[in-house]
Amino acid sequence: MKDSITQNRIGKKIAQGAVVAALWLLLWQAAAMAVGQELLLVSPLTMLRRLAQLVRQPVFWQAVFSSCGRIMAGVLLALAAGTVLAALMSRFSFLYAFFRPALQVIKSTPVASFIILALVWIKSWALGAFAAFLMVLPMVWANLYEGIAAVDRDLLEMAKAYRFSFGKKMRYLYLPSLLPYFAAACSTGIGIGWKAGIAAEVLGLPKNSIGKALYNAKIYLEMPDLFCWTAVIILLSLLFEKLAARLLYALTARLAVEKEGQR
Amino acid sequence: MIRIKDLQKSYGEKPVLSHFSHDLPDNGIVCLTGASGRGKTTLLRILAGLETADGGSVTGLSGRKIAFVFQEDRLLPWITAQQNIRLAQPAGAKRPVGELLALAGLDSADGQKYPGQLSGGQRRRVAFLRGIAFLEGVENGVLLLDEPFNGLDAEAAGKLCGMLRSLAPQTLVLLVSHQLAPLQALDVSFFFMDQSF
Repeated sequence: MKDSITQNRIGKKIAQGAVVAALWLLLWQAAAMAVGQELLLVSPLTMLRRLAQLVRQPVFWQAVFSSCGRIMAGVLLALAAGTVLAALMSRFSFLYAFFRPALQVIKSTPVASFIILALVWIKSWALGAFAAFLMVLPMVWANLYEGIAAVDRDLLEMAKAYRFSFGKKMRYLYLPSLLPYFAAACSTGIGIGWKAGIAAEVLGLPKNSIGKALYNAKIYLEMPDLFCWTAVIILLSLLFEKLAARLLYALTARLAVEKEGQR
Repeated sequence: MIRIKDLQKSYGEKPVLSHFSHDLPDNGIVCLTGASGRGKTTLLRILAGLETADGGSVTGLSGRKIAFVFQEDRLLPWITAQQNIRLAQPAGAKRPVGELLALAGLDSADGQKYPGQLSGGQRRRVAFLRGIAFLEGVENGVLLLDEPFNGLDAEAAGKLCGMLRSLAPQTLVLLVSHQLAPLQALDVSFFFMDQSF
């Protein structure tokens, strides 16, 4: 009974999503027909036709895999570094005082400034990873630092009274408390990482990259290509976001962190 | 014997314990009672090592294992009642958690529930059992209980008292309680804390 109710709900959600997508595509098609010039606004049909051609070319997949590898490497590195930094800065006030201004500066500086500066120092192929890392790092740090500060003081005191080992404290107290903050950091971080990484590739023009393909589309006024690559970026960003959400959900279930238990 | 001498503790400008002295036996049940704000909980917290006294000394506690049942349940919400208890058991503990649950009037189905799914009284009993589990196999342990009967009906309180009775020969049970009725069936030394500021 419960299963059929859940299935109905999922089915309804999918149907609703399909209707919304179809409406937006119709709206886009209507706008393209109203403008009447593919150079200004490509229609969804033209874009899909061009995408079908692109996916048959090996160079398309080379660009997709290279950009994915670089940008996700930057995001993953930022997740790891941001977590370590948040832990250290929560524990040692000097480290907090030392790193906080740097993280604030990074957070407020336009990504283009960093990319242009980094062009002098870093090889173009690593620029996407660098930009993704730099933009995601302060966000991960801020989320996890807030999460660590919000860990229940009463439970920490209980762990002290019952002499929890470091491992036990991590596994049963910090990890379940921080997972929602980490999940939020992942979800936002992947989106920001893709935006920053692609912007870096457009400026650095590394070989076999989505950024370079976007740049070429711009200078040769290949509007269908520009729309195709933009769609690919959005899809990849969403794909990795969903993948991270699935992984975290599996980890949460493994840790028996179930919503029911938190009621 | 545990000797508390000249213990002082203030929170900011507010004194909570002022030159408090008292001797506690090595085992048995001692109940601290008195009006609110007399420093009963603070004394328990100092004995548990969760607070540092501003002055004075406590001797006779070194090397003794201390379990603290807090006034609030402080159970980890993301693991089951059974896991909460097991987490406090020393490595190599042999007593099945199910046996402990039964002593407190809980069954194995209750043990599988998360704290959020238990009633207030059931949570209180699980927190109590965690303290008992922590002292498993320990001779000469100390069990500190802060308002252990809060939210419990007479039957459940009676079951807890039964467990305290069996612990008392090898453990010092020091409890703070405003509810004295459940203790009537036990051999308890009462100490009235009446320091006022």
